[in-house]
Amino acid sequence: MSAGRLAPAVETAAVLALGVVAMHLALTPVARAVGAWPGPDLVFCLACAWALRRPAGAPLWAVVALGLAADIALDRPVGLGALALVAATEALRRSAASLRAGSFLGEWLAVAVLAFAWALCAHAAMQLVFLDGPGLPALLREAAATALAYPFVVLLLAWGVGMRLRRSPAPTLRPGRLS
Amino acid sequence: MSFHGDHTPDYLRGVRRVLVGVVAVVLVAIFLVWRIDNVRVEQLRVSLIDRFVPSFEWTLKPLAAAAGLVSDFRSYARVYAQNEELRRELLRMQGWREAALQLEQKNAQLLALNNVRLNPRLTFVTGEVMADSGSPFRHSVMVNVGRGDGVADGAAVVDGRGLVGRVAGVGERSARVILLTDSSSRVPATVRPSGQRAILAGDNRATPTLDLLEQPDEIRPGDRVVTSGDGGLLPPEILIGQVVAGPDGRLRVLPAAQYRRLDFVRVIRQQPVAAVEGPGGLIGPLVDAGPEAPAGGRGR
Repeated sequence: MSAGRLAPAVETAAVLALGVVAMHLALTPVARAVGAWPGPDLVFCLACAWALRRPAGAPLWAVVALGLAADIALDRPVGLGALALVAATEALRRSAASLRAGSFLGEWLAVAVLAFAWALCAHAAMQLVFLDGPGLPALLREAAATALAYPFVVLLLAWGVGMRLRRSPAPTLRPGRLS
Repeated sequence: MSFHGDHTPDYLRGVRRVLVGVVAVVLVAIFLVWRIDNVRVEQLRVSLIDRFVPSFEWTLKPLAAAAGLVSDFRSYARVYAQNEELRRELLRMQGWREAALQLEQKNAQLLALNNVRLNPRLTFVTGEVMADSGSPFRHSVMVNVGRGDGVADGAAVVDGRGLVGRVAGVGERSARVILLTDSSSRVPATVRPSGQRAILAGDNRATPTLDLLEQPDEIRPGDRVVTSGDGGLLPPEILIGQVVAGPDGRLRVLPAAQYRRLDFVRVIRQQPVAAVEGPGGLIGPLVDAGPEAPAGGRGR
């Protein structure tokens, strides 16, 4: 009982920790040419994948916290990235049932569409408040990188989540193993 | 776990929808506050980053080292060609070294003749690049020197070759450097040899543009661009780069700083210029300072 109640909290902690790891990957000063392709928004991939697979493990407050932390750490307009994250995860949560029934291709497509929509909306929002943004091409390139990175993030997560799935039916097996 | 998502009662779903709406409104408000009261929010951001990012340096360093290893390994492939090139360059440099030595001696002689007092204002502190901005929104890097090391907002940052950018945001142990290529970077510059003043404006491309030129047709690709020191924020005569003609016909500058491998940078500490506060005693008292001021003014 108590283990079942604890699981979402543990998962939330895991998602926050993974988010910090993703931010640090983005912050790493690798030899990146100026004007070259920007790195993918790994926090976006992580939140989307987690909200689809384990909606209980990524509650709204955790998504907001991740988004705000990423905005602050990655030097983005504060609040805009968090808004995108909340909108994307809520949209995915709402269509989670149909997406889970379909193949991975549909899910990938949905996340890619969300990433590109976020790029367009961010550009529009920045135009609206007269902000010198990175420009639409750079934002679209980042969205493309995010969409390309999504399957790899899911693969990495499936490896981790798969382990946890195998462990979760253990309580029912334990009496048998003990006897 | 999964049954939580499937069997949510209708009223809870409505509550959740309201909650999401409220959160969205709050986030939009945060964005607007950031836009309106930018300075204060950026200070908050800098202090937060200053608090947390340096404690993760031990994770950032090995990753960067690994990435550097890969690119180093790639460069082994052309070590021989590089060696030949270096030899040729060394020969040329020896000629230059001779010229430089002669010039140095000549300069020393002339300075001694003139009894010139050199500008002692420029000292620098060298820092290591900790992190880059990690998003396409800003072309900036974080360095591991901050206010504690005497770094001030607006200070010039150079690598071994030329100007890298300017400090924008200082924490106690870290500082953020806006690169010349960032779209918010503006640097007053002089083009040599024509001596024209211009503003070097970044636009998120590898080569910033030269704006506000008086006579663009006097400028040739290959001209050197240095800081002009106008406005007093940056010291004058720091090399920025070379003029190149962009494909769109605009004059652009290829920075001399090597952005691809930005490991160590120098932050120039500029002491404020001593201001001339008032007239000397010889000129006499100020007339508009009131009836009693002349006596007091002369007493000093």
